[in-house]
Amino acid sequence: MAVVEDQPLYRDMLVSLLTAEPGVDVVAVASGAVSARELIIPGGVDVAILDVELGDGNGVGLGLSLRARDAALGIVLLSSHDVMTLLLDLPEDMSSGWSYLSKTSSTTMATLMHALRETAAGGTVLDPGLVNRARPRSGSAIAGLSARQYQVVQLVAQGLTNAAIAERLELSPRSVENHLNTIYAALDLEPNGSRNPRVAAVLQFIEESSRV
Amino acid sequence: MSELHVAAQDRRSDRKVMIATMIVVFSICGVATVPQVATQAAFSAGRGGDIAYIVGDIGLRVTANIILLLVALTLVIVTRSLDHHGGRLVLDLAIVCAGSATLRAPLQVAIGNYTFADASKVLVETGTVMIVALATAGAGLYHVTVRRRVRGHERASAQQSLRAVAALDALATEELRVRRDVAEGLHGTVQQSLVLLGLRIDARAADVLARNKAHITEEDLQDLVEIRADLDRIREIDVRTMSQLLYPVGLDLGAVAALRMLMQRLPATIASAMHFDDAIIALEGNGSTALPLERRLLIVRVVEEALSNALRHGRASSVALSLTIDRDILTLVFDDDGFGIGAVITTSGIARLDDRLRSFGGGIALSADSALGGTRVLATMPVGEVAP
Repeated sequence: MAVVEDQPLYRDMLVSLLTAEPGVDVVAVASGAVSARELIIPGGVDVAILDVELGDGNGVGLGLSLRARDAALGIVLLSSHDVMTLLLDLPEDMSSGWSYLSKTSSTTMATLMHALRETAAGGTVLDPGLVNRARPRSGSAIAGLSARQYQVVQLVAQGLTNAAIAERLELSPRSVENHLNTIYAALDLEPNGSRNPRVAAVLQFIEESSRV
Repeated sequence: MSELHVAAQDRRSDRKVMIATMIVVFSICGVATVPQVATQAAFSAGRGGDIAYIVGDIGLRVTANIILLLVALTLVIVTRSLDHHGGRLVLDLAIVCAGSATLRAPLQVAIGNYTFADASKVLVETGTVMIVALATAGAGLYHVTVRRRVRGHERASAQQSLRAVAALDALATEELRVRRDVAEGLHGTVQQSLVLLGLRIDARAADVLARNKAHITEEDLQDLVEIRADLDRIREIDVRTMSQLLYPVGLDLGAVAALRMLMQRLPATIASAMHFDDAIIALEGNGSTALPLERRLLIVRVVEEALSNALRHGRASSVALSLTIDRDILTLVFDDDGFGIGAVITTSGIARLDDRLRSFGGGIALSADSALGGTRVLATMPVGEVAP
C-alpha cells in the first residue's frame, strides 16, 4: 500500500492507523506527486491512497501516471471536496479500480479498509455519506429508476457485493441480481466486454445525481 | 528586437532627419539670397539689365552651392558626427561647415564666378556662406535632438506601461493566491468549527432536556430546532457559496473538474447535460491544467454567470453545457430552457466577462438560439498558444 498526502499530521495519522491493521503493509509514503512517482515502484503496491489536492500537482494526474506504469494498481482518492466527478473523464480502459472517499464526511476506518480491499481488486467505492445524500437528477436515466432500483445503485456505488446488498436490503441474492439486470437494461448498459457494467452504472450514477 | 538593432535603426533615422532638414533649410536660404546676390553682382559688373547674364550667374552660384551642400552632407555622414554628443557634436559640425564653406572659395574661382582679384568679395561671401552653413547644420541638429527626445519619451512610456502590466499580473496572481487560501480556510477551518459548534449545541440541548424536561415548553424546543437548522444552513450553503465566490472548488484540478463540480451542485430538480470534447479533456481534464489559472477561472466564471442568469432570471429547469476546441479556439456553449433573453434583467455581468474575454482575443454573446428553447450563452477564447 502507498500513501500520498501533503498534510503531515493527516499523513502520519493515516499511516499509523493503516500499519496497525492486520494484513496491511505500507511500503511507500510520499508528501507530493514528484516524490510519489519515485517512491511507488510498479508492481510493488496493490493500492495507493492519493490526496487529490497536492502541493506540487493533483491526485488525478498522479493516479493516471501511476496507472499507466502499473495497470493493476488500485487508486483511492481522498479529498475534503466532493470530487467524484473526476472519475467521469478517465480513459475508458482505466476507469475501473478508482475510488473516492471524503476527508470530511463520516468516513471510518472500516469504510477505508473496505474501500482499499475493493479497489485493489479493481472495484469502485464511493464515499457512503455522499452517496446517501445524492438525489437523482431530473430528466436523467437514473431518475427513471424505481426507488428500490435506485437504492441498489447507491449500494453498488458504495462498493458492496451482491451478497452484501442482499443482506442490507433483506432480499435474496437472486433478486438483487435481477434488479441489477433490469438496471443495466434501463441505463442502456449492455455488457460488451470492454467495460464493466457495474463500473459504468456507478459512473452514470455520479453523472446523473445531485449532491448539494 | 535586439538593442543593437534598435540603435542602428535610430542612427539611420537620425541621419535621414539631419540630411532632409539640411537640404530644406539650405535650399530656402539659397532661394532667398542667390537671385539678389546675382543681381547685385550684375550691377556692379555694369550689366544690370542683362537678364541672360543674371540667369547664367544664378546657375553658376546654385551649382557651387549644391556642390557645397553635397560636400557638407558627405562630411556629416563620413565623420559620423551624429554618433557624438554635446560639445564634440557641435564642434564636429562647425568644422564640417567651416571646411565646406572654405572649399567653396576656390570652387567659385574655378568655375569662373570670381577671379583672384575679387579676394575681398570672396572673403565676405565665404563668411556669409559659413554662417548659412552653420545655421543649416544647427537647424538639422535641432531637429534631430527634438526627434531623439520624442523617441526617448515614447520608449520610456512604453517601458512604463510594460512595467504596469507586469505589476498588474503580479497583483492578480497574488489576489488569486489569497482568494484560494481564504476559500480553503472557509471550507476547512470555518466549516469544521461550525460542525463542532452544532455537536456542542446538540449535546448541551440533550443534557438540559434530560434535567429540566418539566420547564421546557414546546416553543423552546421549536426555537432550538430552528436555530440548529439555521446553523446547518449557514454551514452547508452560505459558507460554501462564499467559498465558491472567492475561489471555485476544483479550479486547481482543471477547468473540466471545476465545471463538473459546479454543475453537480445544481438542485436535483434542474436537468443538466454536459459535453466536453477530447481536446478540452486533454487540455484541462483528468488533472491536467494547461491553461493559465486566470483563464481557467474566467471559463468557470462564464458558466457561473450563465447559470445564475438561467436560474434566477430565466427560471430554467433544464441546462446544457458544452466545451469544445476547434482550430485552437475554445468554444463554450451554455443553453437553457428559460424565459429567453428578454427576461434577463441585467447583463452587466456578461459585459464584464466580455471585457475580460476580449483581452484574450475572445468574447461572449447572448442569443435566443438555445437548443433548449431559452437563452444561449456563447463564449470563445483562443487557446492556440497553450494547446498541445
